[in-house]
Amino acid sequence: MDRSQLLRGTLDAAALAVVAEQDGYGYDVLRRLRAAGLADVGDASVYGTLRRLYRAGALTSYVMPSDEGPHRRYYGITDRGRAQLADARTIWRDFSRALTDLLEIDVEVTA
Amino acid sequence: VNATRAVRPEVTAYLDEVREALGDVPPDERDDLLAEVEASLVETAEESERPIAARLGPPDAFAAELRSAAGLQTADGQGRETLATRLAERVERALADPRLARAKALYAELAPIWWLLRGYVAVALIALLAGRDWTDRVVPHLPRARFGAAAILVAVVASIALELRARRAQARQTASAGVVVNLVLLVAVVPVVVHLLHTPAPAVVVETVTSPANERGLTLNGVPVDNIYPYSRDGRLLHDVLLYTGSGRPLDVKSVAADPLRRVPVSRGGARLYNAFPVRYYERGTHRVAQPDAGPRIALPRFRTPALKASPRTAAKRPRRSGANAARARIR
Repeated sequence: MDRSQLLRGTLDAAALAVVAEQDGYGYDVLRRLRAAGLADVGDASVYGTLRRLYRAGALTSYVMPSDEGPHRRYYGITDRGRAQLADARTIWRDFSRALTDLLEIDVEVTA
Repeated sequence: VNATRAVRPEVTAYLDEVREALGDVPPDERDDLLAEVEASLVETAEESERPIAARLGPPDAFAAELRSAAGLQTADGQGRETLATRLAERVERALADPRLARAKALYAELAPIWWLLRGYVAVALIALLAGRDWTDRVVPHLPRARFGAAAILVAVVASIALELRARRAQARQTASAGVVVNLVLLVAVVPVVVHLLHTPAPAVVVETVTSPANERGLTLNGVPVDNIYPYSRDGRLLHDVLLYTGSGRPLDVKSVAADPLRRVPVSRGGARLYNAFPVRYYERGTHRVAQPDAGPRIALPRFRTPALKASPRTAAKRPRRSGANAARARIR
């Protein structure tokens, strides 16, 4: 199984979940995703995803001055983003349950 | 001033290359993306001494990943494509609106009604565009009402069939085509309804053939006469006046004989006197005439000519015995 392929399909939900927890700027979201276990998530993927979610209205954004460099663009979740996240949760729950069942049966058979 | 606050030349060079790779992206979108990247690069550069390219990969690959994740077009399409992209994004955003989702749910519930209705609307729209006449108000004439009705039937059946097929196929492509068709038909409802509201009610033409040759009963210049009001020379409305022609035939008015409320006087011998005027009508359910003296609105002339003297002999010549006896009785 290719992790990067899995990530590609689930990064929207992951990014929405991180921002829903707390507003964050690009690198902050990236760090939190990695800290959550998605160590191999790509920088460009996260930034691009955030921009796309913002353009789609799932995220809102505001600029905060920073002492340590350029201004940071923070993202917050919108109602639309929350709805999208709720949908993603349902899909993931069903999907992962199904796949878990399938894969664990397979393990038992081969074991 | 901390040394790490300055953007490292390495970061700037990397960003420039990414920017170049994103040359076809609309400037404001690209600037926003790169501002995001820059802020992060600055921060990561503070945390690590490894070269940026070693951590992030070559700028081209980074740009490609950024582009793909952001859902931007590939470098092939220039300005026009990006306009289309923006338009598509707007549409995508509009379609993601929760209000639209609610409307969709409502549509799903009301859909069967709409399937029937849109068949009619489609035919009505064609008829409208073709400038067809809708004289019987609901069914457009293509060119006749029954073809219009057939077209509506076909359109409704086709509408349902298409919908069922689309549901089975669940093809996105046909679904979006269907959305366009539905929108067009939905908009077309307005002119169709306006047309229906403004079409005058059909004039019910009841043709009354008044050809004297075919007309039974008494007529005046081809118009049936269904009542006669005789007045005496002193202006009194007479009742139960029996009228006859010169050949002795009763002037019957039988065209109104079928009316069950008509008061038809009966002779002692049981003959029904259809030639008794004026014809009167009973109140419903009674044998009473409410207004025996009702008559046409006329201005009665006054006689200058002196009254005729009826001789007993003339009265005796009346064909009906009973009438003659009565006349004789009165005269004596």
